[in-house]
Amino acid sequence: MSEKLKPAKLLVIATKSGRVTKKYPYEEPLVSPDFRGLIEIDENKCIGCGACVNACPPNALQMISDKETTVLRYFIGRCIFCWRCVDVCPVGAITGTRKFELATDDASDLYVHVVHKKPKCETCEGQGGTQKMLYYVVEKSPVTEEYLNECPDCRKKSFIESVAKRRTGGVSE
Amino acid sequence: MLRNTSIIDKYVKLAESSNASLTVDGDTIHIVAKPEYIPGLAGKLFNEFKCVHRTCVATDERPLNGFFSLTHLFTDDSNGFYIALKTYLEGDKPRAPSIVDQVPAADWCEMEARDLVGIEFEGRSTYRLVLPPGWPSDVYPLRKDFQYDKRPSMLPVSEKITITEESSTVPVGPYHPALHEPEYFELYVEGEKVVDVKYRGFHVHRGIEKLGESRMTYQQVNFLAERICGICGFEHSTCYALAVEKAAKLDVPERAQFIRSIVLEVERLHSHLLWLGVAFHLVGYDAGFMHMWRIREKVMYLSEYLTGSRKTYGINLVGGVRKDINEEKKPKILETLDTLEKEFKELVSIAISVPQVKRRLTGTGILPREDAVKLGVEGPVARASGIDRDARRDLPYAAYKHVSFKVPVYTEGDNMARALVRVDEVFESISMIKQLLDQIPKGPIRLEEFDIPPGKIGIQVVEAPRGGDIHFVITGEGKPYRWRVRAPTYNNIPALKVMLRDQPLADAPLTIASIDPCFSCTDRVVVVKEDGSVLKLNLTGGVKL
Amino acid sequence: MFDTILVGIVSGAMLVLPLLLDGLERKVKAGIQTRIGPPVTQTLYDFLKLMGKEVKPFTGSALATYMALLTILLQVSSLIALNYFIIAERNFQILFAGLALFLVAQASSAMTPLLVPNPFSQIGGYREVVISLVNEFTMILSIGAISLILGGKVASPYAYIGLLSAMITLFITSYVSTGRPPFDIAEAEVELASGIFVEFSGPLLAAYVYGMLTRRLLAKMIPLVIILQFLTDPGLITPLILVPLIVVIWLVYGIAATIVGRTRIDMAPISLLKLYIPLMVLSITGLLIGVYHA
Repeated sequence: MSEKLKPAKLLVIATKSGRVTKKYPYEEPLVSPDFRGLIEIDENKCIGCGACVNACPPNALQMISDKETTVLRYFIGRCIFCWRCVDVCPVGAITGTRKFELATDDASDLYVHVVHKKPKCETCEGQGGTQKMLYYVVEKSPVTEEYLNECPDCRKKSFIESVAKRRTGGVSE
Repeated sequence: MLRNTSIIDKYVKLAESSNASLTVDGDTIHIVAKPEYIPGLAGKLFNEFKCVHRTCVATDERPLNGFFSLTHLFTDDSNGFYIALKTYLEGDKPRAPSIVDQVPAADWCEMEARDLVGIEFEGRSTYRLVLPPGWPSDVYPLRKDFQYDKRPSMLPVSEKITITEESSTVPVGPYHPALHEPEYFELYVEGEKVVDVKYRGFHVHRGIEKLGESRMTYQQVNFLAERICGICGFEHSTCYALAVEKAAKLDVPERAQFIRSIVLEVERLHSHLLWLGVAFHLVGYDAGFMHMWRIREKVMYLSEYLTGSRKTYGINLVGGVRKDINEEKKPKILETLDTLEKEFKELVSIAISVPQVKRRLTGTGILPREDAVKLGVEGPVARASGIDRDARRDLPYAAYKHVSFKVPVYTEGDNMARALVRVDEVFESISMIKQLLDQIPKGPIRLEEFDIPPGKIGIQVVEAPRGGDIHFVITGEGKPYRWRVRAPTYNNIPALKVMLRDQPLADAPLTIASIDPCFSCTDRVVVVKEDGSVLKLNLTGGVKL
Repeated sequence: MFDTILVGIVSGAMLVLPLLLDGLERKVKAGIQTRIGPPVTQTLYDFLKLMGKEVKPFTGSALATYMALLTILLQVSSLIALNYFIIAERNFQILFAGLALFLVAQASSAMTPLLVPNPFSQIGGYREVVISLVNEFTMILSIGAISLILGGKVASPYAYIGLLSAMITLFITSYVSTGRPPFDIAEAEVELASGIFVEFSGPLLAAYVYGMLTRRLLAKMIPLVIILQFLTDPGLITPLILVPLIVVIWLVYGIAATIVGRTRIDMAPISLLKLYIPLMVLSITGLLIGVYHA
């Protein structure tokens, strides 16, 4: 007989649990302290090195350059909130938050741009990297201050010329 | 190690009998043979050595050595070996012999190799499996000269099933709002009895293997692998990381392996609780569904507490994990597991005693043991039909050699047996997590500096909630050269044709759901064509009870 | 004259009762499932919204609409007849007319999906027909047994046991005819894209669902009317006792439906017959013994 009445024990379980529905959005969402949400890029700290762009699996972070500026563009729509960029940033410019309520009806809200100036090379008028990256390199190793005015290609050429001058007296034409 | 050498000697003799070369690399035995010896070797491996055929991989190795290659992957479960049976094929239109008459489980993977790489198989009937019907016939996506973002022009082909007064075809899917994932079954019914079933899947083929070989680096593929499936994603990313670590012979810290095992078992808990809820819903017992998912919510909160996200945990990297389990988290984990176990036991005992649930699950969707072995089914489906196979015990990986657990095996092979296997596995998982938390060693959680040499092969099987999942990786420069995933549901779906015959129509959704299908995992387009005789009978002849 | 107006007013008020009670049942069901559930007036809102949608014709829609409206008409007439019986005068011919109208309404409601040539409708329709055949026949038998035992003024104790078992049968048949789990198989399986409702939309769906809910109301009213007619005199007092009792029984049936699963078409008639045959045999034996003693 008790076997037949067992389904009714569900009522006992139901009264013990009560109503478990949370009244979100009229109350705070239930996210734990470790929840991975939106990332925020600190414009002052970012040096534009592109480590985060290399590490991002869905290509949500992209570097777009033109003649004068390099822009780091973060498209929230593609972000999978894995926080790999937070892991690999050398200066700690990217911090993670617990925000996840990101829905909007205007797609331009979802783009974050960090603009960097490109340095000018004295010799060839070409550009590479960003100015802030050069300052970062100088801070870490002051001896490089003498080489900073040239872009990497010109730096290579002048280094080869200086080695060639020491060894053989000059670079043959 | 005497036992190991005698077993390896048997394989050496087998290789010598077919003029093949054999190398042993850790727990993997590589056999390279000429194409004409492959069916014989495969037959001997399946029938005499009792190995399980997992999948076959076709690779375009023309940039490396000018050939195409076809590798059949077997596992020797009783001795813990992986066996890779490889052959090289020449020319731009390569041909290879088929092993389907010896190993029926190789049916789908050969057709997939034909569709994606263009290898023609001799000795069997061929059909288009993975690609849509309008795809041009000599464009092979997985060849190295096909760019991953190229789109060939396709003529869309549409099919209609005619539903008229006389027909008695009941379509299930593919884009119905009541279904969870896109699948398409055509059930041919006679009155209320299903006489035959036609399946077409692969509506969500996303080209993940091609993407992993072209645009991604080693560390990025972890996140891609996690998104193969929404329910069992973490085991895909663990399997990939373990395969790459095996290929590169990396020494991953023990603590990382323990954390991986703990999170794998948490994922198994959530997957089985989800399935039980869905099974109750399909029987009409919605109160059981709501309560089961209320209990599952605790597991989801636990996952977020441990890894940072309710699903797609994102903590796996090649070389270790990214997030640690601190000491202060342990009491909360143990407390959650205790309440979970008590509530789950109570709810299952009530739910199984509801007469409708018990009577509808028992005796329906039977899969006999011989069919299960021939079709190579995986996971709880196999264990409910009497096959005692579990990759955590047979091919131990991560930290599973440190825990003791039972593998539940039932012999009836009906829906109730599959449900009970999953219920038992929940209790085993809870006990495993407690043991792992007890024994977790201190140390780093990640390898900082390591090197991955190109050209190495890594094969790994991980026991997902749905069965054995296998990843095959050939390493390249900075990214995998070839990555092959075979999810467990891939092998379970052909078993549906056997399970659905002669069943009442009302139990068809329940039977389809009882293999716990994960169509996103299956991930390849399938068209199963039939050339048998199927009677389309007249429904107006009345209801036969 | 006054009585007829009263009957009309009470019947009109009871027409809106099925919608409100269904909303209340959904709230209670949600509470058992530990969630909040829709507001109590939700079914009423759904009905009004559906009535305002466009009419979409399909093969067989004209016949199906006709049958759905016929069902509602028959059920309203049955309701009026039952109300007349309990308020105006205890005329047993009116009572049996009301019961007959209810049973014919069951038949026309089962016919409605069978007129639609969609395989899911056909499957659902045939399932409903099979259940109805077993159920309605037993309902007629049990009402017949009750009226014979009570009408014959027998006093033997065996007759009272027979009466009790016939009453139990009547309540069980009333539960089964409401189309709740475990016997809601007319809607087929959720995963197979529903059964009888598959082609209905807009006002036709609203009419069909309203017919279903009114059937539930009548199925609960009939046993209560048969019991109450002994305890009260004709007049307004009877509906005032009847309506709260209907609410209570509706909620009890709703709770019972929540804690069981759905049965299967081949198991359903067998399990029903296994339940009904012993009970009816007991009650007919009691009747015959009572007749013998009288």
